[in-house]
Amino acid sequence: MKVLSAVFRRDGRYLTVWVEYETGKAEVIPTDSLPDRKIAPALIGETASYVRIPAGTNAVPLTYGPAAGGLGQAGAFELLTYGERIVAIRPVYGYKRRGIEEEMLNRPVGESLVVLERAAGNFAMAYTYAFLRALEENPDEKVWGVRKVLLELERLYNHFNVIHKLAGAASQKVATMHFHALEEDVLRVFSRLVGHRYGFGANGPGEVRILDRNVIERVNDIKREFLGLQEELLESKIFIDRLHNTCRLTREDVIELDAVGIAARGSGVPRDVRAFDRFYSYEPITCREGDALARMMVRMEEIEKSFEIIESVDVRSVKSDPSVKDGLNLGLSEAAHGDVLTLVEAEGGKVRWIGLRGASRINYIAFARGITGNIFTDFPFGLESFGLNFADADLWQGGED
Amino acid sequence: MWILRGLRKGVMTSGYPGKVSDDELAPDFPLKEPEECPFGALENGKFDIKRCLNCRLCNAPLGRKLDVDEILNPMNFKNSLHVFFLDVGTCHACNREVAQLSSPYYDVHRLGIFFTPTPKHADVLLVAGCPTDDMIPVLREAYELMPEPKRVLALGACANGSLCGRDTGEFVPVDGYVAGCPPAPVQIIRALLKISGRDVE
Amino acid sequence: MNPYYLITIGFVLSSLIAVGSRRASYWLSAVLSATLLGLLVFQPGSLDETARYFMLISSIVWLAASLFSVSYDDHYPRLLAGAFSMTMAGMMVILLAKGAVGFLIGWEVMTVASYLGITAKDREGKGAYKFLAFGELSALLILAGFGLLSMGSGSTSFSAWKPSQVWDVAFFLAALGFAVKMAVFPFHVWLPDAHGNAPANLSAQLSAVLTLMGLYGIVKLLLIGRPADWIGAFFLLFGGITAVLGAAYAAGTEHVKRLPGYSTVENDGILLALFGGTVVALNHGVMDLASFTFLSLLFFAFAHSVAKGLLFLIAGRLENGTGRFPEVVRGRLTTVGVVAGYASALSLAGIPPFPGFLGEWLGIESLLQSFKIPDPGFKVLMMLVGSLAALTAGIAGVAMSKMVTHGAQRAGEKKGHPVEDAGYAFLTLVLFTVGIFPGLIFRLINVPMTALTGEKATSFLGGALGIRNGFLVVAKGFGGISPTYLATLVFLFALAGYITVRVFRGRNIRRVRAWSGGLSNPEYPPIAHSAILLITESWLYGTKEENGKLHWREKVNQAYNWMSRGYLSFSEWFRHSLMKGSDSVYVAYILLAVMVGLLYLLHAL
Repeated sequence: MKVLSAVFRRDGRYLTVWVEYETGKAEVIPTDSLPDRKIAPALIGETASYVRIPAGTNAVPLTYGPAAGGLGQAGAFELLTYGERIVAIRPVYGYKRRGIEEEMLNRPVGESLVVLERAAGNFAMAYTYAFLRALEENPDEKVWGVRKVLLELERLYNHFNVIHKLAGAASQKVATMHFHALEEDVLRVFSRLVGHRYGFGANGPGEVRILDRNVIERVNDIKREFLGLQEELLESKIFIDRLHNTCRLTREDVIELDAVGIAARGSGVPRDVRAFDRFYSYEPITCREGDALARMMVRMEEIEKSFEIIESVDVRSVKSDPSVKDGLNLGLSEAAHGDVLTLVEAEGGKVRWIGLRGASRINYIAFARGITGNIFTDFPFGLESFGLNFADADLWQGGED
Repeated sequence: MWILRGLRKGVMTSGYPGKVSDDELAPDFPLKEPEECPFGALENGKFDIKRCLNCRLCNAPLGRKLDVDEILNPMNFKNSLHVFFLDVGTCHACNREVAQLSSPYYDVHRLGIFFTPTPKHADVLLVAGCPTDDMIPVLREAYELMPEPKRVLALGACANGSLCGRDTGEFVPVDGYVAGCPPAPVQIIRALLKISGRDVE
Repeated sequence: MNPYYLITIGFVLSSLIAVGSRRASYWLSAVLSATLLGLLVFQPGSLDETARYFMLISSIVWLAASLFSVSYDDHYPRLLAGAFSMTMAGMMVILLAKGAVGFLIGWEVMTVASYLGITAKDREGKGAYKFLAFGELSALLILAGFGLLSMGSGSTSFSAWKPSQVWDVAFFLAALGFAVKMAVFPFHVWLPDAHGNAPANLSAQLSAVLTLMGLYGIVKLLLIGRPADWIGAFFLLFGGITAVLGAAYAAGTEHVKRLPGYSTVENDGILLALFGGTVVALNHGVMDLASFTFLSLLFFAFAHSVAKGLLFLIAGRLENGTGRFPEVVRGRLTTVGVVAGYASALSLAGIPPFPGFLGEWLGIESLLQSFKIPDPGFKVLMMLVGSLAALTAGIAGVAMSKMVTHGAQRAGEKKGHPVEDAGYAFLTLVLFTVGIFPGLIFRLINVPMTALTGEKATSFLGGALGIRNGFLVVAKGFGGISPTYLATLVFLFALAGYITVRVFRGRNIRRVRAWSGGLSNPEYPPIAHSAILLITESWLYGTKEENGKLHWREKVNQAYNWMSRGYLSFSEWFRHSLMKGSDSVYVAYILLAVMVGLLYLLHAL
């Protein structure tokens, strides 16, 4: 099944990227008009068409954001309601258009990486992974093995954050704090391992820089702690009940909206870049129900898999051939919430044009579909179960149009 | 049993203010003035730490630095401080670091620092991120709605003009900054304590 | 001549003058009401004390409604002004009647005049017809009851009636008739439709005074003799159910006039429940409780009538377009009007320092003292109804806050000093006065209460714990409350706070906008105020959420519509199956038959 993964503008036309998750084949096709897929407007940042005001309604449009305490980031939702019920909803993109993609261009690749990391901070490892997959001329097995570990560590702290947020929304005051501390534990591992709490600066062209490899042993303690907490948390019927049947996304919804990552896997559609990434041997984890509980269970199983992957690699600094490919190249990697895509055009060892697509750009639309018809109190459960953020959603492209 | 688990885990709260452990800071700041910076943190040869991206591409020796803030105009609210966090265009790392302040590792409630959901109850506006076109009116509105006395703290390299070229100070008067990309929780706590008028070493 | 008869004639005159000048008619009504009020307060003369109390409440509402009508009625047909005053005349006849005949004449005049007044605005006449239909049903029941009593005692005069073996049945019939007029469940469906469609000045009368007449009838009968326990139980139960339903529907409705209409259903339910409680307490010999419940009944009636009258006068101004809340616009009420809107809504929600607060307290306090009744069945029943009443008070809060936030608060900023402001101000003043000094009203209830139980209403005023004698309302051996001290303390603290802030912090005030996440947002829609009740209790409301629209229809209303449609189609079918030909031919046959019959009679005689 071909999935519309990204749309960019180039030379006055649209550049569309299609991905087949079963085989890992991807195509970049220039077209004159927007493809006829439901997700296409969102991929170019326009979400107004996702809400239609029905005739004769007594619902009014309200805007949640862009400086709402509950969201905590610069992004907004426009929802239609007559009180309690979410009749229709759409995310509003654009509040985080910083123009940071331009800063990545016409620099040595090492500096482009620095800017890319700071484009979506908590998915930095995933973006740099995808970027280097697109650019590296001679990828070295050992380098990519360590890069895999960094990506999985990032997945760990992001999944911990999601569980912390879900428990917090359900007022599980103790559980939420435990998971918040687990997240901090992983950030501290990064800090000692690489010299930066979010792993910035670890990935360079053709090399990966590790400071203190012994700190990896701490991951075993984190694993033990997690397994105990997981058991305790899942015993809370009240917590499970809040997640069950909340924000349900059907398989048909996922296919119609070309959803990716956790949104897809939580509804039984096994879309995972790691399934066809040559440095991974990985089976996607899915769950059929499609509600917030399903998505959380997928995350919990992925956490256990991540621990296995981390244990299987010998983590150390490795240097290899830093040369980069010229021309237009595509890179994909599976971030914690879904896959991120980088379409890079390099010339003379420098990036001249870049297109980025974060999973949030797509999955916020899937969230909007799932949360329609739910009541306000279920909003945080739906939203946090996807684990998205607006910084990642507003990334698009930089360079000559 | 959550109680037993909690007792077994013990107290994990940071010793700061007081002592800072090596785990709490990453060795990502230059300890000596660097001579080159690919991201424009050098102004006429002088290193402006608030624009440092912690990229570590400069050839300077790196280490753990706690004093990466400067407060120009502290308040006199020594016992409790209410903070309104406003993201005007971050990469989300600063949001995560500020969120960690409420985690058991840092727990700023013990220091009397509280986050409010609205600027109307706030003493300090904590701004993070490069101010984007759409967020500038929101930034101005939040500042306008805060009651006197009020202060603005620019958090992180982006809010201080790095990477996108827009400085928070162009839109609202800034009373202090914290450097870092992102600043570590203890560095943020230090700046908040200083802006509230408390002595930190 | 009896000054009250003069005033009644004056109202009839005012009704006739309406043909010439509406203004003159309303001014005359206002003057007559003011005179009546003055008489009742200072020189009641030989008027029966119970009638005096009810007439006092009526005249207060009449005065305000007349003043309101001067500026409100500038485009309605003359019929309205005529009907307005004639209704008042009818009610005066009821209050002055010494026997069943006079009472019923007044009752019919009142009903028919009101019906005609409603048609002034209700073009199709559906609301008006419902009103008339149920009005006649109540008249029929009252006629039956009074008839039985007259036959039993051999006279139609009230003073001749005494308890007999038909007393219970007759009492029940008459009381049921009065209760239908007070919109008891399941005969309440006429009230929201009638009030929703009637012009506001008439609505105020309908809710505040017409339903009061129902209560007057019941009280009058009670003072003649007490009915059996089962009647008390019946009204306790049905009163409680009516109250909860009325409150629930008031909280869910989207129409500015139907909300107060349902609120009247709710309050009348409480009144009926309190009546039932009085009967039960009397029958079990618990005189203290009977007196207290009777006091609650009468005081609650006062609080309700005044506040509801005022609320309808305000709602009349809020009504715009189809009369739904989203259509309320600015510039309909002056500051006086907005304050009046707040005062009336808060009183009905049971908030101090308004009389509704004390009324609510008295009501729930009476029902919850059911432990004093020896019979366990009644103990439990009364207590359950008491908890229903408490639930009602809570839901009424939702309804009244909707009236304030989406109604009165939105309609202000009118310039000028229309005459209606005088009416608003007068009723607001009454609300504040009676709310803070309820003892003034207690004195007026002394005589009726003594006639019923031998105790005085003022015996329920005491003093304790530093509160001066006469300012503490006590439920003997149970609890007490002092609205006067409460109001005074709150006022003093508020004043102290205000002065402190102004004097010591004072000048640095900066006004800023509201914070709504950074952008400005449209207001939360009025339906959202009720949405939580409508969505969670969809079994009660029959809520439907389709195509982005949230709406509901009252189930009992739908049942009535279904029944009436069914009856109409049955009637059509019957007619057609009985007479298969053309109607006019049959009419001709009938006339022919009548003529033949008459000729034969003439021939035979």
